[in-house]
Amino acid sequence: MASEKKVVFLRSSDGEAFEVSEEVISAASVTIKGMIDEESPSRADTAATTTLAIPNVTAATLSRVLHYVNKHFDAAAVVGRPDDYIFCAPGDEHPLARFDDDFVDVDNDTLIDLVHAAEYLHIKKLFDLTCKAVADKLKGRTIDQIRETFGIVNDYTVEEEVEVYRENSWAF
Amino acid sequence: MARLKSAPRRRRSPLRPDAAGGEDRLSSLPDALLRRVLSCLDTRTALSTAVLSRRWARLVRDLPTLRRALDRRRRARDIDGKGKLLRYIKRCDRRAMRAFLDGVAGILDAPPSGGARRRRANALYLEFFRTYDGAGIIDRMIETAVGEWGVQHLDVVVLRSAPRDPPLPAYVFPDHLLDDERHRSRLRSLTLGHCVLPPLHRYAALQRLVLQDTPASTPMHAYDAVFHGGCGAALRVVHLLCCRGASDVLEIDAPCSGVEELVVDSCSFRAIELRELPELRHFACLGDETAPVVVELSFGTVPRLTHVNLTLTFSASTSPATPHRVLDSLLGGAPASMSRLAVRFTGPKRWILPRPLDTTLLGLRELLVADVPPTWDISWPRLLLEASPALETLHIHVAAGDGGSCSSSPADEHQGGPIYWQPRRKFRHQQLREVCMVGFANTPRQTRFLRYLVRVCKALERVVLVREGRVEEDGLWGWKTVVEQRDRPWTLADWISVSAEIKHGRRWSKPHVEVTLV
Repeated sequence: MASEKKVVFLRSSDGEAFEVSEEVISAASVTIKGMIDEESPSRADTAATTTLAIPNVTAATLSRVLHYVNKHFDAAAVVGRPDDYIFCAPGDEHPLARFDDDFVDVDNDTLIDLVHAAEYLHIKKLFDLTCKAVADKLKGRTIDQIRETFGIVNDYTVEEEVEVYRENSWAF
Repeated sequence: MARLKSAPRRRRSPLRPDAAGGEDRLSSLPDALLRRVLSCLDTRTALSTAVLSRRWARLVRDLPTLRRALDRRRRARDIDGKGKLLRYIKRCDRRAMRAFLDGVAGILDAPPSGGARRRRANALYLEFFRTYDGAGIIDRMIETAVGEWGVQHLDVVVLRSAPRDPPLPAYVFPDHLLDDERHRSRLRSLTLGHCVLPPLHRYAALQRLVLQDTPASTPMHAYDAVFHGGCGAALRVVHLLCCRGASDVLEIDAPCSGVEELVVDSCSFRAIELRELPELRHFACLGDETAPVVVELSFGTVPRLTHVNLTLTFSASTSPATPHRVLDSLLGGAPASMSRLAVRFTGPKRWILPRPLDTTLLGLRELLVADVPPTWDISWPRLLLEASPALETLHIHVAAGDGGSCSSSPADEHQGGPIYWQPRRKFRHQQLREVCMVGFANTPRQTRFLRYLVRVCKALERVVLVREGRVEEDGLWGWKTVVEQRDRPWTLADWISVSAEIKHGRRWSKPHVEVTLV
């Protein structure tokens, strides 16, 4: 039983539980690794599986995060290949480049939920990826478009706005 | 750590009932997260977000890295033209430069509005053309950035514009404006492109220095002074890019220098003498078609040198008659501490003569022979193998032939002259464990070389043959093999024939060697 793959259950804010391999999730998330380490003394003698509550993350987001984690951190996926060689499709720089691109190709709300989740769970790769994706959404848009997309309210007076334009004139 | 709002806020702005998202989800992110998002953007886009709202203006004022480059849209391409075209290019350049200076002036002259904090920045990158009258503004920018904003990483790169009628004076780095101890010693890294060099020994805290496009009139002692920045200086990394100097020989003799990494890239020096650099660990000497090639390297007292990269090419344009080189002129006298070596020797014809290396590379463990041109005899790395008794892994990457016709014609016709090796029956290699060949196409020469390796290397365990892939550089001194999987997999029959061919000879057999085809 000890050599069996240990699993943990993660319960989202709305009560849904997800199963994930303990090894994979602790490689990915610093936060959850910390939780597991805290739990482990009490768990050593009982065979019961642990359920960890993730109060800040909804089920929809958590399932996305776990999808990412299983893709990126599951070492079993690359078994049977010579180690220290990277395999990828022609034209891709990184084996998971295409997966990553599709992963963050979502609407703004979902993306921002993912940023929050990645930050809370402390998954650095995912955090970098999602921040980059938010930045990409700002890129190549006019100020009015950004305001509209993200619903940002302009709180400047006219004089202030002129001043801000002047100060940041190298951007325009 | 950042605070988290647990549930999505349902605050709806009464002003914008029809907005797409409705609520301001982006602004629900805490400052730290938004700063992280902004740092993924280019400076231009990041600064423009200041206009979104007050909060964004405050965030933007703390942008750690400011890059101010010329507007590429307004900049004409670097074409040498005559008459109208030239005038057009000049006009474009002038316009780009004016926009650049206006932008700089805007940020400098902004009044400290309503209790807003002063700008803070960590890195500043400026790239511009030489001008008649703009130098003053740029000087002020550098002074303000280093003195007031706390910039520690400064890049000042002057570009060569279209030819000017009266030659403009080179931009002089405003050394005189930087306060003696406090401000100068704030700089941790400095890049100077096409500038008149300041007295660099005064920048005592400098850890990283990049000099590029230094003029041909630069006296050689200016380079020497870089390494002599006082004993115990902080300088660790020196890169010389496209540098020119009064002499063809770059001599570095700095017993007190702490420099650990030296890169000489596309410079005009034909010989490099590393007389003494006690802390040097990483060294790279790179050249491409545009610059004369380093033909002579000599290693003196470099007891800690471990990683070396030599990327050299002789093309028809730089050297009409391809000079032949013996490996000794490049690696002769290499220190025994060298453990990792990447060589990338290219050119239309093989220019390395198959003469054994006089020096024994005692410490060499990992060797990458990258981008071997298809016209070169693949077996030339034998020279390195025979000279490095401790070698453990050998990676060879064969560059794809023209038009990707690497599969069909195994004939040796277009493969350049073969190397006729003197038989060395007694030679055995005791340490080599792994051979990887990327670009393996099962040509007779490749097979012959692999047979040789399997025969003489007693410890060989694994041979990995990759049809299509590339060697990805991981910095200048590391590499990873990336396999591109196409829909032409090797068949079992291929594997059996390749494996039988390289593992068994008439009088020898190495059944335990693991051959992998990917």
